[in-house]
Amino acid sequence: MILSRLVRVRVALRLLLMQAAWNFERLQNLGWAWCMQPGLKELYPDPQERAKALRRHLELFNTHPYMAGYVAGAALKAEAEVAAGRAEASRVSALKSGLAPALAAMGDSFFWATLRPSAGMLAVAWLWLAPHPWHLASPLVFLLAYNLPSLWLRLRSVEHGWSQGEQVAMHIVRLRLPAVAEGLRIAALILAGGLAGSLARIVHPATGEAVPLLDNFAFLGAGLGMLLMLRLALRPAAIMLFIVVGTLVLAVSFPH
Amino acid sequence: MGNGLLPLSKILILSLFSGFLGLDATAALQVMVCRPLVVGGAVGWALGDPALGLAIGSLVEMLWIGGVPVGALVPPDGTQAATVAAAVAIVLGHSSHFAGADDAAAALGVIAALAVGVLGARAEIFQRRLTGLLVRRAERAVEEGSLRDLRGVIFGALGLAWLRGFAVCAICLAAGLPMLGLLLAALPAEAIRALHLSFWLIWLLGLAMVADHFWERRALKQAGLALLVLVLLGTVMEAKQAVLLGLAVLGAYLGGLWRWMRARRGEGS
Repeated sequence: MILSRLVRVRVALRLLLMQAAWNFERLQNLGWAWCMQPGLKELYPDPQERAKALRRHLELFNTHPYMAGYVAGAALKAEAEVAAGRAEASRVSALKSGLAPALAAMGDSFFWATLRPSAGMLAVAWLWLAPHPWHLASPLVFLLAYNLPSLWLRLRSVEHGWSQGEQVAMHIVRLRLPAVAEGLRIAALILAGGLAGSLARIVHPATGEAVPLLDNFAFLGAGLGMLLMLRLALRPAAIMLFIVVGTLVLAVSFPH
Repeated sequence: MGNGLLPLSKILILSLFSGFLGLDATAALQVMVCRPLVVGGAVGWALGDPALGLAIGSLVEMLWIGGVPVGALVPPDGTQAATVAAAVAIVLGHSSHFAGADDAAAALGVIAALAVGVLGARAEIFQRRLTGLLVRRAERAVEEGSLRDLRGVIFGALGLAWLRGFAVCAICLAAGLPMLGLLLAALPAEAIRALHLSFWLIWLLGLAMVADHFWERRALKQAGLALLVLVLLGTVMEAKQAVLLGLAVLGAYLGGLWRWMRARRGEGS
């Protein structure tokens, strides 16, 4: 059975709200089932068969929201096979439970832990280093750097899943996301090091004035000390408390 | 009406808006308009100081860099935290009562943001439990053979998520701003100086958190070299850091791209 392109686009658009009904019991299940509804409606004209299929998709489900399109496309293809009587219904659940966790791990590590912080770091550097008033475009830099690759992937994912079915995992492996992530992590770390180094000469993004306080190596030493504390698994809130108490002691000890 | 520092209409508009942006964190779209950097800029623009809003937003962005919503984990609410931090920094920093204490106000805002983030996360856990009740009802209906579109549950849950963000932001702005104002007014000069210094040390903590998040043994040499070269060139030659840093980043990105293309070519052949 063939699912029309319009239905596949509707599924892709619904995936943008897939996590709206996130709940602790079955995680993304209801949002996922809602995304699948247009496809199921076309594949199962018989209401009883459709209700059975819908129940299948209300099982516990969890994956990375950007990767859900691949699972959706592949699951719809499997549903089409089931609707045509060429496969057992259990194949759909098996496919979902095989793909979803692996894609969740990949998406978490690439999008949440790498691309988003790298784009954020780029935007912070833009804010501090770009000439005025261009520095105000920093949120735009962040949104473009993050969304160009992620939206490109999200909007195509249902089509890829539909065209490749169970083989979609190979397509994702070919994207080589871990290699890209490695490059981004290295770039972001260099950016953080460089930005810490240039704190000595740059101007305050709000006032446009030089920041003389930062013009010394002792300040950078303090930064390295904080990094060491973080590497030793000290909580950032505790370090912040340490900063406030430490500066208070300094201010009281040296009134002028 | 309002709390003496910010009129009620502005508190409501900021909270409405912040509630909508907060939906982007998990419930809808996830195009990252919920991130502190974007939210800080928007709040700054609404309160008449986009540059300060962005500065605070970018600082909160770095402090929130490790907050990842993996599985059932609910990270601290960066959207409401950034809204409150930027509003505190701008409103108290611009108030004539606290002349000369603008960095101290900004530091107070960022410290308060930590508490707002935790409060937001607690509220989100409660809201997700309420959503669970809506979901259970819809599941029972489907079990009984109903084929109705589940759109009602989706939009009901979105409404709950928006209400949660709105309530957290409105309460923190209405109650927190005057409390922080009173605190700032009561602080002795030494404490104001300490907060001023803290603000810049918190910036450094933000950068340290970024470095910690991206800790990659293979990149440590390059990052250390970039730091050293930029400090030396900046100090000795007063070179344009922006250009140097841009070149360093471009080189790193091109290097990553080259690795990726080579890996893909290897896969194809």
